[in-house]
Amino acid sequence: METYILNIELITKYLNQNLNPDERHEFEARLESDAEFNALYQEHLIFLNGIKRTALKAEISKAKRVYQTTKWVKISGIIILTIGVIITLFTLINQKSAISPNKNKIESAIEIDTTKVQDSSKVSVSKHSKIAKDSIAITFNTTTKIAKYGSVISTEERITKKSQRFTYHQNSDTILRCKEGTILKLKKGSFINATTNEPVSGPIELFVSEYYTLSDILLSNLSTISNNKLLETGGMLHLEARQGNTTLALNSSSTLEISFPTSSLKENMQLFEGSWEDENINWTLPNDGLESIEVSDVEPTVEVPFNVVEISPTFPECDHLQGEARKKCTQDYISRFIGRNFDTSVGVSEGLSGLHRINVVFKIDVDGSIFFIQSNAQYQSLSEEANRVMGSLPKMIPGRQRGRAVIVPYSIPLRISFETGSSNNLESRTIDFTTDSTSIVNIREVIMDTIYSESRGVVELIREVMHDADFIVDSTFVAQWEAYKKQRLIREIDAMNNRRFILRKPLFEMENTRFVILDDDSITRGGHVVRIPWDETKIPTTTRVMQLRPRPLYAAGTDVVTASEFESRISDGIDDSISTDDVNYYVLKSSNLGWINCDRFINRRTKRLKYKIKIKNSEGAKISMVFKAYNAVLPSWQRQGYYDFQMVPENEKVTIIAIKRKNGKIYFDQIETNTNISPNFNFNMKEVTLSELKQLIEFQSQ
Amino acid sequence: MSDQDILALLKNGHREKAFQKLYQLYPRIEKLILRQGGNKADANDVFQEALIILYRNLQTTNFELSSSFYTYLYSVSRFVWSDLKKQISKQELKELKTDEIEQFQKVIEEKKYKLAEHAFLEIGQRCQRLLQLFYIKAMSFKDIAKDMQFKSAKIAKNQKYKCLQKAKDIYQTKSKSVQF
Repeated sequence: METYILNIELITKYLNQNLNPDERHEFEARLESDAEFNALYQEHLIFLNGIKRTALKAEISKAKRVYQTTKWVKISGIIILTIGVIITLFTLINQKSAISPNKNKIESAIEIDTTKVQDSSKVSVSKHSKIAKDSIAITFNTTTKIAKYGSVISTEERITKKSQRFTYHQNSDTILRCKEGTILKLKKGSFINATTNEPVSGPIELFVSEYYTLSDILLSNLSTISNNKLLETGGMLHLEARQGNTTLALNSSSTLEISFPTSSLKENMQLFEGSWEDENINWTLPNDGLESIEVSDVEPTVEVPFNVVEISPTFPECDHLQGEARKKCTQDYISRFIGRNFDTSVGVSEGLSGLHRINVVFKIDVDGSIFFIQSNAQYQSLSEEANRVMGSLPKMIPGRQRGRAVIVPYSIPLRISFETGSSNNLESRTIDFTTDSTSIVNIREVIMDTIYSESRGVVELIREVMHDADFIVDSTFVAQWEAYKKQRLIREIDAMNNRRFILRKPLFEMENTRFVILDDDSITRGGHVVRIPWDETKIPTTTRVMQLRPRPLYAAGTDVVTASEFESRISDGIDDSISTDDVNYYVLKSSNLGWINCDRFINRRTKRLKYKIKIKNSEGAKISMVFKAYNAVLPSWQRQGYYDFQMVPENEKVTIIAIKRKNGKIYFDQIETNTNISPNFNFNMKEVTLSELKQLIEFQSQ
Repeated sequence: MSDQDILALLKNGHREKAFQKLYQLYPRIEKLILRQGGNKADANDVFQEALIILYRNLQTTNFELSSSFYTYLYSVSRFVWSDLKKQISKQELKELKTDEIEQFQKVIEEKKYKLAEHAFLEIGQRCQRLLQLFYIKAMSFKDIAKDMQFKSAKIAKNQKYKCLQKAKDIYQTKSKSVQF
């Protein structure tokens, strides 16, 4: 050990060059001669280098850390710089685009966003019970919840319209005015728990979604069809009442009154209820359809008497005439018509004789059809016959006052004299007409609401069977018809919605028979005829059913007012901004919640055709047809590569709209066309944002 | 910074700063190792080894930088890696150029030092520190005794030899199991 220490000491000295030249020589000589010493020396060298390594490694790793830190500092510096540059550029570009003509777009986009936060809806509250006058607190906020209704654009995602949420206590009557003008009148205690039928107390949340613009309707994929018939819409609503998580229903004895705002009032609009069928909504008239219509608040259609009206209603034959000549022509036509068609035999069969007066009043509607036929005679049979004759008057050109079609009341006093003993002699009949102004019957103005509905009667049925829209049906023929039915000569069979009539052989073999065998009839071995009647669309009805209902009255403070007065009071009293005089309201009553629509059928005499389009690159797009003129949306059914619209009116100006939602992006295209033979379209779907889409569709509404 | 500047830094003893500069070559060496099937940790080790070898070479007086630092480090790193993976064949060895042979020898030599280092790292913290203070910092036993709280320089000296002996024993057993 001692020698080892000495040797190491010597080597250390040698390496540190602490030896004098003599000692060095001796050391080097010893390295050459003494192998053991040499090995020790080498080993020691290696060992020293090993120790050195630790120091070197420490230095290297320290250097590495510094290098990496500086590297990252540099990189992050560059990133920060780049971001800074990008932000600067971005703000610069933004400023530029703010001045560019795109301004509108940007603003409207912002508008759409802000409506979500704003309390832009107004709530007006009114209490119209006679006792209490204290105010009711109503909390209101727009909801951010996207409800389950609202519907799909295509297969994947839903674009819903935000519903408004009203919270109120139902211990008194409440009126809610929604964002877009819908007014809901809620009677106290009208909501009950849907499952338990128990009355509820405490605050109730009512969710209301309004769909009045075409864009809202389209975006929510709502369509306006009722059992495949196209509807013209005045606006749709979705109502949902909740208390916490419980769904509420309307108490069956209670009603909910809805006022639809509309700027273009259309007659015949009715309340429809909607339900989803597959991916389209089907609107149906509630069972108590007639009950639900209340045209109380409708701006009354102007009636102008015949001798006053600027342009009198007339028949096509007289249309070229003006002024008095026109009126004369019309009157003569009506006189001739009655003379030709009035069946005097009805009076003869009752044994009437002498002079008889029949006062006939009817109205010529804004579309030229005859309604409100009222005849007054001493004998029932005479007034019935007068009604029948007037009902079969051909359609007229409506009268116009100041360029607007108006209803024209018309009255004719008929004088018929029967000479005894000359039955069935047409010559013996004298009919006299006068149409002087004094004879115009003034119908007393009552606060009554008129409800019109069309009904199809035996006249239409006969025409359908006869395949003749102008088939003259008089009371005699109706009586015969009924008799034939009793004799089982005419039988209706309705198997699997396949309506058929069996007309037995004798009908065609009678003397002076009006039954004719038609080309498309099928004839049985016994010689009987099986005939498919025309469908309803071919025989438009001219018969109108009218109901009068007293206008409902409301208590407002100590006054009794009509609905319209009541409306104006709310408007004046609580919210001035809403009281726009030009906005009319339908007040409709509904006993259901859910989808409610204010619609009317589009019944026109236009030809209809089957319409389907083939779109190559549709890829599951949703295709709808928009009838701009009617605010109507017709959905298509996709089948076998076709988009089927079923029957559509011919030569109608429509826009075909394709909306697709794929991978979270919206694609849109539209094609304007006329409905003719089914064409092939190539859509060029472009990607749009939701706000752009809204704008594009908004453009449709204008 | 040019290679000559780095060289000057190294020769003037500013090792750390020089290593920092040399590290800028690391990404390229890393690519080489990754290409040859190594991972980032391997690349790190190889580059460290190459730097150590470079440094040792600079200490020898006759060293001249024939090309750039990059080519030198690249070449050395390649040898280190091949050796590590035992991929170098006898045929390849025969075809090596003179300067390459020199580099390869250095790599082999460095392996011995590495083994010595491992042996050194196994002798305990106090021994390591004692040896480092004596051989690297070149402190006197008196100072070491003071620094490491030995009672006297003599004890420190005795302790140093014991540590050294211990490390060398470990080294010898290690080197027996490894064939150079």
